[in-house]
Amino acid sequence: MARFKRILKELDDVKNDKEASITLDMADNELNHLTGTFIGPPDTPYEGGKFVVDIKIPNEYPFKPPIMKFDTKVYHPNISSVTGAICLDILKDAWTPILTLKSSLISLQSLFQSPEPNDPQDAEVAKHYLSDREGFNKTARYWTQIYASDNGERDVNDAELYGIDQETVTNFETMGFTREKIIEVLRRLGLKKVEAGEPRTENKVIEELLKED
Amino acid sequence: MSDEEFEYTDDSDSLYSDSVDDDNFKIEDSLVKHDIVQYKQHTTREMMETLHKKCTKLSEVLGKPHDYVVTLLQSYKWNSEKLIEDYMDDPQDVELRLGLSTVKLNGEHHENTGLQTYTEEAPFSCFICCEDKLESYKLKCGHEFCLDCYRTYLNEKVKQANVIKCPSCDVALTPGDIDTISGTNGSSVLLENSIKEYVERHKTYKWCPSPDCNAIVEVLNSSDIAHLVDTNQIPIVICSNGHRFCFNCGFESHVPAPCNVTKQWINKCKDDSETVKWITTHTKTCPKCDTSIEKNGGCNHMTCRKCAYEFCWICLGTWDNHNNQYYQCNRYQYEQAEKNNKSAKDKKLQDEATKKSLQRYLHYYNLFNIHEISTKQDKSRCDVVENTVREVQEGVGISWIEAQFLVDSASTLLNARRVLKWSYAVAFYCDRGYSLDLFETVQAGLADAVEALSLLFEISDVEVIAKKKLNFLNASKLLEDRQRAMVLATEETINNGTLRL
Ligand SMILES: [Zn+2]
Ligand SMILES: [Zn+2]
Ligand SMILES: [Zn+2]
Ligand SMILES: [Zn+2]
Repeated sequence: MARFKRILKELDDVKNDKEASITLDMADNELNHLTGTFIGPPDTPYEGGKFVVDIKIPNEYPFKPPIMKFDTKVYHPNISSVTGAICLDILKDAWTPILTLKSSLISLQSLFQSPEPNDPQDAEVAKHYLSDREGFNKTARYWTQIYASDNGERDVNDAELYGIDQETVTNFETMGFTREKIIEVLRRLGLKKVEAGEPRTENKVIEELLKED
Repeated sequence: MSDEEFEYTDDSDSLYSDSVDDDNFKIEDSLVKHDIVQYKQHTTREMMETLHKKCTKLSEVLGKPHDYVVTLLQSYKWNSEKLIEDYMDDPQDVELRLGLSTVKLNGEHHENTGLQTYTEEAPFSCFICCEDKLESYKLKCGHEFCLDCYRTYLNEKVKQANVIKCPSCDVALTPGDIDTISGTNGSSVLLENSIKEYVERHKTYKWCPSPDCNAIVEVLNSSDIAHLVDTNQIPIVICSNGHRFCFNCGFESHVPAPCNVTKQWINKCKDDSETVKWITTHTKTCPKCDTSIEKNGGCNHMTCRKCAYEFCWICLGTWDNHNNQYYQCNRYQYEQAEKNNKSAKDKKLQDEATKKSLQRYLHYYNLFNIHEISTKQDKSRCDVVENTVREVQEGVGISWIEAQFLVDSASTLLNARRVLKWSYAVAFYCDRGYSLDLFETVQAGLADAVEALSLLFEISDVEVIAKKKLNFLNASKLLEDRQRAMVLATEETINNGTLRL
């Protein structure tokens, strides 16, 4: 099979490149299922994280693109925060057979440096990115810590995980609602924060919280 | 109504003629003003030639090779006006943008392009497959890949693009490149893609909507279509494979229903499809013995295999009531509906109106749908009618010409059933009154004649078929007469202003 020769060569190329911050290996001793990893680029919320990508090689490879998705949970506008699906043109229509698995992984790495929120995979994350960059960075960094670091075994803070303001949660908790419910309702309404000066939004949240019971 | 008729021939370039010969009167034609729809039939091949001619003309204007112009036009989706405008403005920019520049961006020239051959001792190492190969292809950009990889690449790209670019850069492959690499005239596939685009871009062209038909119709007086439609005339055209369709709707011939009736009816059926799903079932049980009966032909006169009870598929009533009189199933029984509604008297008036209107709709939808299903069944029978003709020929020993009555009858049946089907959509949108009573009488007559001919097609014994030739001919003749009457009655009903949309 022609594609296997090519894949073997690609595996070799990555192994021989000591400089690159990426790895490529067979997943279950099969040439059509690989695992790639790369390091989160510096000066991004993904810095210090190690991101694992699941790679399936279609029969038509390299004339059709590899099917890639993140195994590591990533908070990024072009990556589904639920499934790890990736929205990147070269993995779709813009693929050409001179691109490689290595170049694709490098493209993913640079996608971490420059997200494209106008062509989002995860609309909620993209909205967060566009409306509150600081909050977005904080959440993305938290996800990197929790999911992409070897020492990320500390207790997961669910509010931080969804980029939800701690004070807002506490505020509703004092009204007697459970933390779990509050976060669920806030996520459903697409809210990260409810300002004290926004009684209408607050009422809407309370209304939803009451509806649940 | 027009006195002029349209004579339809298969081979002429323009299919339009002013013949007023009464013998050439075509069914459906009193509503279909062929004398105002002037059109040409095209096959995909002819369209291809048209596009090629366009290229030749433009290649003279621009002073560029034919191949080059094909790629240009394909990139511009055959919008030659825009292309010429851009090209006159800045040819260099167009060339660069489309990957047609003969000079690589860095100014390097590649002389030795095209097919390359290598030896076992010094083979070509292909980047794409990572194998050593003896044959490769080099584009003018200098990028070179093995022939096998190039072929696979083309096969993959040809499905989705008008223009194929170098796997490595933006240089476009010319039809010449593509044909050499594919070893066949692979570039024609690209051209076929272009035709699709061309036809969809130009309002004067339409694909025949019939499944698996690739024929194209070009209307020469497309500016008249809007007026035609406004005056309830149906711009019916016929593709080179003989399929009738409405050029305005891009939909099967819906004579006698005008386009606006058709559109509303289709939308209504779509909206209400859930409500009436139960109707579309193909099986019913015999009203007498409950044996499950599958309808396998178009005829609505059913005979239960078990108890031999004869009944009507539409109303499940005994067939006896249908034969002596006109075909009762057409008429929406108001008295019946009234009776049904009395039980709901306690309900609000609005409720009753809704229920009544739904009931009324279901009635017509049911009829429409039954004939739609029957049409499909008739059609599959028509598809094998040639076989039947051969069987009759061989089995009975008559000539091919003599057996052709079967083919003609089959197409008469198909057309008539379609007219009948669409007449139910018209009826749904008509006010009840004297005019509609007349309409429904004619409709019942047509339904009767449709079932009569359909019944003849149930015969499978070739000898009986041959013996019944006269019956086929008479039934067809009657059907054509009644179909014509239906079209006239529709026109009259609409002219009387009973249509409510
Ligand atoms: Zn190759
Ligand atoms: Zn190139
Ligand atoms: Zn056709
Ligand atoms: Zn129409």
